[in-house]
Amino acid sequence: MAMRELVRRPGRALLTMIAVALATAMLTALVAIADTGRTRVLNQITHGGALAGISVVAAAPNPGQEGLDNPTAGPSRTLTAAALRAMSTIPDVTTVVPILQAGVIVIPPARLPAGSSFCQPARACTTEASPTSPSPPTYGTNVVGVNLGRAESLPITLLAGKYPAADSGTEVDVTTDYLSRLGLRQGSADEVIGSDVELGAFRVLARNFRIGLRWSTVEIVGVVNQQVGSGQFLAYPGLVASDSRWTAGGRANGDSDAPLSPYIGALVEADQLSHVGAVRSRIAAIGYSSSAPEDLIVSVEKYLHVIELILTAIGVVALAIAALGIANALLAAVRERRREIGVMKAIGARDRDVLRTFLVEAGVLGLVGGIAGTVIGIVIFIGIGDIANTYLTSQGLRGVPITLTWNIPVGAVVGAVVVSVLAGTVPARQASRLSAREAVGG
Amino acid sequence: MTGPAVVVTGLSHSYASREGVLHVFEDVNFVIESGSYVSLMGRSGSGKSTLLALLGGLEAPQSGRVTVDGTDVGSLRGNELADYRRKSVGFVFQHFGLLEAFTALENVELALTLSGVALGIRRRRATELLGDVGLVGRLSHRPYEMSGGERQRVAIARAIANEPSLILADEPTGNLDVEAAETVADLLASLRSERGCTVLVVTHNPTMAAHADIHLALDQGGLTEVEAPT
Repeated sequence: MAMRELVRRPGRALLTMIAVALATAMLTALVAIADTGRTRVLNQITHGGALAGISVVAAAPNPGQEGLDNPTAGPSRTLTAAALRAMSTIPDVTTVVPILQAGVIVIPPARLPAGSSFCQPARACTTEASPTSPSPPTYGTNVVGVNLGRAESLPITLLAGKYPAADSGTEVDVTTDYLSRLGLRQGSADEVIGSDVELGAFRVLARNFRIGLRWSTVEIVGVVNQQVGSGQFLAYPGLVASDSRWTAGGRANGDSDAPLSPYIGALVEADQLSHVGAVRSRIAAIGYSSSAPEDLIVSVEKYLHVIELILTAIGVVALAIAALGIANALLAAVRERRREIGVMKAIGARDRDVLRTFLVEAGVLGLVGGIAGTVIGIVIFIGIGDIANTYLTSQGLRGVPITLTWNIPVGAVVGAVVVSVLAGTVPARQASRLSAREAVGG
Repeated sequence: MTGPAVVVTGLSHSYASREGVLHVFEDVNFVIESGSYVSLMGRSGSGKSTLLALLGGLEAPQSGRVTVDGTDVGSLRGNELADYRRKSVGFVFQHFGLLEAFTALENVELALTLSGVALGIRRRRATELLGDVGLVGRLSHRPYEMSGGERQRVAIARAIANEPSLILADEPTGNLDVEAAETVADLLASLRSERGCTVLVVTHNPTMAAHADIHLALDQGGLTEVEAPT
């Protein structure tokens, strides 16, 4: 009966549904934008890593600085595989990702990309075997090794290309510092992808301190920003461990600076933010310093929560205004249908039958308007995201991932129905209390 | 059923108005035997519709007692009253009282739906009833697609859907032309003869009144039996 009455007055029903749809659209879009903004802000704090991520360094903890987000590390201490195993057994730890690092000598490619500032004129970089072809000098940097299969929870951001293939010993990613070395801007990242570069792991030879180099040619497959270690190259641990072992061999030849361990640190992830403090204490007990932006994250989350609440409240207010429209429309319907309601009661309808009819009408208005509004809200959210990403990209910044969790659209529709039914309560009760005498008149 | 269908004793009713208290009728007493056809006449404002409303449980008597098939209507409340109206009484209104959003079939089904009859059974029963009133070709038509006489026949079909013992009709031919009025009058008369219903009709229509066994008139607050109108 409710559906029939709505169809009977399509104009009124449509206007009411549009009001609900617009309110729901606003609520959906605002909540989605707030949710995405929250993710983006927290992502910035953790540099793309996990919220409950902890950075461990190869240094002893500094007494008196426990509990600080970024304590000053104590004296250096070799990070061993045994220590990493011990960390993995700490309760509430989900993963331990070791970070390796090895020093290398870099010979830049013989032919630079045409966009390089070294190329004057640009043609000089495209001519085969030109005696005047410019090139940046050979230099030293580090190769950082980490399990890139877990890149999504590490402070690594892929700017162009891809990550090296799993356990590859010949593929690397480079940082934007490498681009600068070649005289390229960040926007020219694609120009280095696919190019080869010579990396030389060095070792002290014999007792005359001559340096031996072991060369390997690697292919650049991507450009990243990374906060994992200090180095212009990023690769899987296998490649780095190999270079590190070669270099460590110099210790036997008197190189006291040769590393005792390839590990410079680790990224430990706790199962939840509230357990980060306890995990850090256990790491300190094992003998290593750690840092984590837990206090900052907690503070920022509180502020973000307030912002989310405010934006949600704005959307709810809009929905409440639409609900007033539903109440008004149904009150008008009750006035128009007094005799009809009286007849229903005269033929035996109970008060609750009449109540249910009007509540269902309100619910249908909320459901149809809520679904339409949610769809519109999602379109608005995606549209705003596209505009924002276009701007960010034009400024050389990384865009914002446009993702929507299922609870937002479901919550919007459910909210629209609930608010609509609540709005219909007063007119429904008024209708149910009408006297059956209305049927007879006179 | 034998014995009295309706017993009214000491019934009085009044309304508050701007001019003060309006006494509609005072100390009305009458008995209607089961299976009777009674016409009720009176001037406009004499309380005919009010009396119908009191018998049908649409309004509670302020004083006196109304008993229908042994049930003290005045003592019923809430759902009991709704149940009484659904099972014991069938209403036919001057304005037809059909729901405009429903088809003829759905209007008749509504009475059965309120009684909790299953879909298949109520659809079949409603179809039969509409066939009984000669509207088998109008099942899917809405009220605005039907003439006044057809609408009133749908209303009659709805009124008898739950097989009530008492039919209360308030000026059922008031909005109908002569031909339609005769059809409706004959139909209501057949309810008494074929279904054994007790019928009480408020009417100014002589054709309608001619079918009645007993003729009552409300005048100046009192109810009297009168001769059949000519």
